[in-house]
Order: sequence, then structure tokens, then C-alpha cells
Amino acid sequence: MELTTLEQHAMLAIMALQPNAYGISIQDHISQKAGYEPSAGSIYAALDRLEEKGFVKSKAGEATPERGGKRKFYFSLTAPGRRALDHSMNAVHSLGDAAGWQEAVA
Amino acid sequence: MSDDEKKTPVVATNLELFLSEVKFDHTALNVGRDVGLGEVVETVQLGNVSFSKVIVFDTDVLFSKNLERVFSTADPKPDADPPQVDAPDPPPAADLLISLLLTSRRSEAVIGDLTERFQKDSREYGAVRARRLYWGRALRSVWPLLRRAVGRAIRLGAFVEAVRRFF
Repeated sequence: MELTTLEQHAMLAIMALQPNAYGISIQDHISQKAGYEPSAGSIYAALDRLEEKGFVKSKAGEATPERGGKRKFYFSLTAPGRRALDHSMNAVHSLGDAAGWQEAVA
Repeated sequence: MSDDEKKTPVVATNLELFLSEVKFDHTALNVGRDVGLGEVVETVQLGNVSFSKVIVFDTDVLFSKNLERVFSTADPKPDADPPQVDAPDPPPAADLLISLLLTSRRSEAVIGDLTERFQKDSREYGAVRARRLYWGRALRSVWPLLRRAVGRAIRLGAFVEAVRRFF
């Protein structure tokens, strides 16, 4: 199953941030590493789609006063999610290799 | 001065007592400044009030025993948290807008994240700018969430229609 760029980035962020992958940390990670800042709505819409596909799962965490008593929701990848991400990353690399991308930008 | 000539340090726990004992204008007290009867060794500013820890010579026995006493106006509860200022609240209308587009579980996550950012912004930039940033983030979030909600509704509608046709 295909992944959008944001879904791909969100899944990579979740992998990198374990076990502290929640909305803000995912958003900040993408902002730092990919150079654009997706809105909270975009992130959660992507996470919602991924959860629906069974690629990520979420777990309710602690509610803090700083969050107005709202709980954090921590995300992790499922086994099908890892496979989908692997497939998606391989596709990007194959397409890049076929286009001679590394030589072209060198 | 030998050890047995020293009294056990006395700790004054409020500013009035300290000032009445030292008989100095508090504004004249500065770190390291010799104030005649003693010396300020540490000053802490909490809001508009300065608290000073001062080593004061006991004037009653200054020439006979040359005793030292320590007065401190430090917080009477040293382990207590600093005074809390009420944190501003994020705009409730923006929260309502988000919660209309999401399930309760997702809206809890999104509003919690926006609130966490808001609290950080209000500490850094003040409540007015933090509210503006909050609205900006909330409005930027509306379009992808709306698209998602509409997509879901269309899929659900298509499913219901397919079931109706079948039966």
C-alpha cells in the first residue's frame, strides 16, 4: 500500500523518537530534519490514516497541566507498518537509482 | 574569635524582622556591601521584593565578645515552590472548532498539543502573541482535518448506499 510523503516522514519520525513519539515531538522532528513544519492537523490526519491502515498504533499517556489536562497519545509502528515503510523507502531509492539521481546532484 | 565564643546562627524568617533587627534601609543592601553592622552576602529578587541573607554583628556584645549572628530573610519555606502566576488559557473558540472535526480521542490529542505549544509561547512571547499563534495553528489545522472528516463521511455514505442497494 502506498504512503504519502507526510505519512512516510511521520513513520520515520515515529521510529526515530521511540518511545516518545507524540504529536509535538513528531512535528518538531519533521521540522528539524525535513525542513518544513506540517500543521498539527496534517500530522494527525496522516496518523489517523496510518492507524486506520494498521500501520501505527497509539497509546494514551499522561495528562499534564501544561496540556490543559489533556492526555498525550504516543505512537509506535506495527509490523505491517514497518513492512510498508520498508517497501516505500525501497521504491524511492529504486526510482532514485534508476534516474541516476545521486550522480545528477553530485 | 574562637568557636566557643560564637552563638548559634539565628535565622530571621521574614523581611520586617530582618529590617527591624538590622535597622537599615533595605534598598541600601547590596551583595558584598559592608553595611556597618553586618554584611550582605546574598540577595535574591522575587517579584518586587528583595530577600537578603546578612551576617550581622550583635551590637549588644560587639565590643565585649564580638559575636556573630546570622539573619536571613530568605523564603521562610525554602523548599516551597516559587509563587505561581495563573497561566493564561488558550482561546476556547479555537478548541471548539477543532473538536467539531475530530473524534473525542483525536481532539484531546490535537487540543493538548496546541495547548502545550500555547503555554510555551505565552512564557516566551506573552499571552497576547501566544493567543494569536494558537489561532494561527488551529486554523492551519482545520483544512486537513476538514478534508479528512469529509472524506470519511463520503466513504461512510458510499458504504451505506452500497448496503442499501444490496438489500
